[in-house]
Amino acid sequence: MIDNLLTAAGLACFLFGLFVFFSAVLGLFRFDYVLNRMHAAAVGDSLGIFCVLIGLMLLHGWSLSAGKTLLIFVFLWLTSPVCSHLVAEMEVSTVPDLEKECEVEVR
Amino acid sequence: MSKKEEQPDRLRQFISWVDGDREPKDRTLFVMEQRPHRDFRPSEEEFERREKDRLRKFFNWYPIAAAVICVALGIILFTTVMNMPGFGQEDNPINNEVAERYLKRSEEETGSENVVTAMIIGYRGFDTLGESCVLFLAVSAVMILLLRDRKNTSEHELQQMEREETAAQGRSDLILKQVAWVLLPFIFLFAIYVLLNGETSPGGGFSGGTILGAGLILFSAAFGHGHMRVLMNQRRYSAVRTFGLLLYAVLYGVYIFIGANGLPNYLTGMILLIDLAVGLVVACTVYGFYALFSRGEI
Repeated sequence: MIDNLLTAAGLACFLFGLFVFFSAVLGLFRFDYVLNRMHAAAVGDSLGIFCVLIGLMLLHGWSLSAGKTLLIFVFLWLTSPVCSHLVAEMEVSTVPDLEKECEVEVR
Repeated sequence: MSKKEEQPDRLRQFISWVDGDREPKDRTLFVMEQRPHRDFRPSEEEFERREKDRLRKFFNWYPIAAAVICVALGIILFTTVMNMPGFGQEDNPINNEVAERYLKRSEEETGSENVVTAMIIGYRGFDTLGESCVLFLAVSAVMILLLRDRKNTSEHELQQMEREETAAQGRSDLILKQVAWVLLPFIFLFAIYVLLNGETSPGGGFSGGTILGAGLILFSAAFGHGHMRVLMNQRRYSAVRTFGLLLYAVLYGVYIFIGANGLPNYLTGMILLIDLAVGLVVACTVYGFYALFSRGEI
């Protein structure tokens, strides 16, 4: 019973992660501005990878590989937002008229 | 004109010809340059019309030619695939005595538990030596093209670079620095683990060297060029690179002479050292490309 439940939950997570990745790739190709595309890619890299890896861990049960999977996703969650941040910072600091491209909130 | 006077004159002509002066000392060349073009120049409209005509012809033929080439390529590939032996069958030509010997005797012959490492560094070591040479030469070629020194950099460019560097140091990125501070020890640890572990498990020179190079790139991007210079300047970089390749060549030469012809293999730690040498070359290649393309110096 618990096994079946775990498998179902894992499959649900996995499929939802695949859906997120699909929409991320779609957004990456369909959007035309850097920041929008960065947003799409970041969604895939954080939520998509989270769901896929959690799904895999649930499907396979707890083992050493599951621990390694956990490490992978700690690594990805540490690095992916930093990459997005760097891309956004580069865009903001190099484009002279940012107001034309997107809304700018001054704080 | 005596011969003694003629000689330097010729030399000077030759030098000016090499340097590509527009007006050579030799008048005949000059006269030939002034001659009008033999073919007549069409007027602008005529030229444009012809160009459009050619373009239209090209676009008429382009899809047809592309389709023909694609279909031909597809037919060739499909016939090849159809004629290939079935996947995983026992009587395939790849299942011969060579693969069997690799699988059975690689451990005693090369002293490496990992068959893949035994193959790429033991049996096919010359191939890997060639790959390392390719990487070495690639960095050398990029250095020839992109390395910045006193001869190909003007004062203005130097000043601009200095200004950019100070500006980059002024707003150095705190987030990147913090994350790199957390991650770098683990990256270097993992690189060393993969490098040293190639003998017994998946890993080895190429993968470990790439991770090491990626760690160097992250360090350089996060903490700036100045901190990197403490760790690695150009002389040290070249020394490490050359040392890796030479170590490989010498070790593999020794390995061949000792291990071949049925003599027993006395050097068991050889695979590990060769892996380290390959790792050094690969790490230097990866980092060198980044450094040269981003700022033109190591």
